[in-house]
Amino acid sequence: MSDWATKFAGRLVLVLLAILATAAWLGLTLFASRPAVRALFDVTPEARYTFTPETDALLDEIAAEDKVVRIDTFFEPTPVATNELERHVYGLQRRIFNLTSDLLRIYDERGGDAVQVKSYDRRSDVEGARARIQELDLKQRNVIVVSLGSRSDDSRRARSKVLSVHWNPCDVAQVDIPARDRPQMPGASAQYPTLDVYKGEEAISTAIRSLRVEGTPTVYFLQGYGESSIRDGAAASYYALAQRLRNTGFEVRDLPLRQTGRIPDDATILALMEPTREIPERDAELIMEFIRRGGRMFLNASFSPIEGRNPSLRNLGSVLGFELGNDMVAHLVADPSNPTARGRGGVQAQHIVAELHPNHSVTRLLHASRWAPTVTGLREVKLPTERPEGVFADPSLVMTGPWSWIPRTRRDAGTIDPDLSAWPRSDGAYAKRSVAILFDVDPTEGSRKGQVVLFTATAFLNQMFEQNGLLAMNIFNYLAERRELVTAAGSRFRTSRIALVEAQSERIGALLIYGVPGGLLLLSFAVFWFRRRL
Amino acid sequence: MNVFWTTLKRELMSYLFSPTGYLIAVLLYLFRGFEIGAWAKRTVYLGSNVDDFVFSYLSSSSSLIMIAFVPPILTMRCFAEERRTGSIEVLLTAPVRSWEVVLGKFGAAFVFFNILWWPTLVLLWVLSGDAFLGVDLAFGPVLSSYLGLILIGSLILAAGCFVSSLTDNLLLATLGGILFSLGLMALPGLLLPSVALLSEDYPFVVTLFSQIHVMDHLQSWFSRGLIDTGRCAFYVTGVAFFLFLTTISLEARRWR
Repeated sequence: MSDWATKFAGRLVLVLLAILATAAWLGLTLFASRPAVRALFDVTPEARYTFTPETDALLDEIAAEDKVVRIDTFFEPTPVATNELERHVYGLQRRIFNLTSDLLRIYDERGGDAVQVKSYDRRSDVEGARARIQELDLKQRNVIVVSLGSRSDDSRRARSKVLSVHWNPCDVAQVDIPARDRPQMPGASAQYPTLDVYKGEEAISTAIRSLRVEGTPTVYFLQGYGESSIRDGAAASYYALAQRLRNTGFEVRDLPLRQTGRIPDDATILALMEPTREIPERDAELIMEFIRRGGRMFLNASFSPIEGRNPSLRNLGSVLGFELGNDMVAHLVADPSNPTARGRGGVQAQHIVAELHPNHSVTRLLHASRWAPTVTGLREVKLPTERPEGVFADPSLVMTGPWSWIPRTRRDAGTIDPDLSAWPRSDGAYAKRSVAILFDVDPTEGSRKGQVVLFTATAFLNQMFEQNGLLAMNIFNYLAERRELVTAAGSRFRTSRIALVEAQSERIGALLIYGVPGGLLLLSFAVFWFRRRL
Repeated sequence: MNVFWTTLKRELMSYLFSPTGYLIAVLLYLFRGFEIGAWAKRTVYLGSNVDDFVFSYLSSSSSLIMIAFVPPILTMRCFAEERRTGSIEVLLTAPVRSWEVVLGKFGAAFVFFNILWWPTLVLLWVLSGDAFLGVDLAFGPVLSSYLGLILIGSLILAAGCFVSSLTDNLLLATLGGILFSLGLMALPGLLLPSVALLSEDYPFVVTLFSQIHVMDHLQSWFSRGLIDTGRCAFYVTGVAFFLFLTTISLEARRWR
């Protein structure tokens, strides 16, 4: 009996010790998961899972305001591919899904209680997905919905933004879609859409920021001056700009000012994209009246190589104090092997990497992110020494580097052809020149200053918007006084592709199937033989 | 600590000079070779990217088999063999501390387990060459993936040592270890959707389950290049836990 009791007591002690040890293990695991104690190390080469300081600050502000960001994902399963193109496209789609899921996991972890991420799968949770889709009045598939609301609010009252994670169009990634008319070399493999840049953090953080801003500023795009369209998806239009404005909380409308003869009262910003005809005096007066009442304008007037399509806009210029020239500005192209040297001219000289003002609120954060826009078709603009009264101009918002010059031009059969191959030898021909000028106009009524941003290059066309769109959005948000939306470039990274040929695949197979197991087998025989000898 | 080093060296030599370990490695590398070879053939037609390759290479079926089955096989002999042959009595009556013996045996299994993985790292470096993949591999995510695999493997090794200390039957010791490893890798993922229903009333339960969701750790964190100290702590404390249990299991036997 006592032997039995001793054994029982011994086993009981062991069991108790085991229970205590288990509790200690789980307790330590829970303790180590607390945000104050744990650390997250991002060892990816581009630090792709490390948020920018702006996103970190944004999440902290949301937590401090006791608000909640809710991110709902609605990913449709990719079907079975039936051909080569579908295999590529569905693979691309899955990649975007995976990158977005990874990123949202980081938002969830980093945001703590302030961020809730929920995935809706129509297959496994039909009712839940359907209810949420109805609540959000969602029409698209393959989207994430970012909502912002107070903790106490019903989720239906939260404001929300929809971001597409479909491969085309995609709000979180830049997909390189080969043009249909791109000629294919004989024997070359077919070109398929590929993922070029992933920029999910930029898209999601921008959506969160835009939800924090109350009010909907209205942008009226002026029509009737031979301007570029904001409606079609062609490379040389501004559809992407208009879409992005809508997606970040702007109301976008057209204004055929020549016909209406008035600027609507709800206009916040007037925009005119690359006019090719003069603005009549009457329209210019209406515009200046609007600006003097505290209105804002974005005027994009770049160089056109077609004779007669470079209006001087003198009716506006005489009031604001600028003179648009008829010539294009070029900039010497730096030699990568000798970056400190002056550089050379050539065809590339028309593409200019602009410099941002380091301290202005429009460009400060972008400048700090070491981001710079590449512009083309830069037009010469002068600011006369004698300034109009009540107008202050800052020509340094965006400028070229120090080696810009004005090439000689040949005018032939209605075209203007700058000679980029003959760049000046004398240093005196070079100077920094303005790309974007900010005009502050004293108001005639009220205290709100009018502002005009004159951008004299092509930078925001559809084909260039992915690269330069941040600057455009910063300018529009600045003009709309949505300072909190003026942002830095979010982290974005390129994905490295692997393309193999048959020979490489065979070598890999030979190494991994024959080479390595064969070597290990020989080693095992050697060990066995050695052991027998011992 | 002499006992620790002596035990570790002796056990490690027995692993290194046993053909069994090499045969296991041959089979696993052969399986892995077929997997990666099939991936390479697919890539010729479909293309791929570096992230997917690293993920496939280190989170493939062969890798999962390696961490689920190899540690129980390595640890089955740790104490069960000694109990079966009776040499455990000699060990327990010797003036040695149980924890040193436990640490020595675990250490040897841990080192050999690492040795089994080293060729894959060298292979990866070779595969990145121009003759094969011709890519610049980012070794950050690669090393974090290895860290995850080693951490998971060491937890299963420690559990295997404990199971081995409870029986004198080698098969039972192996099966117990395999059951533990399969449960560890499968159960949290299976139970998490149900546990998530408790999130409002018992949020710490959901947190706990996410902290022990091993497959999620490997596929969504370590293999992505993210090292979370909270998740690492689960494995480190788990190893300490099982080694502690193994020690008291041995001590209990000594008291008898």
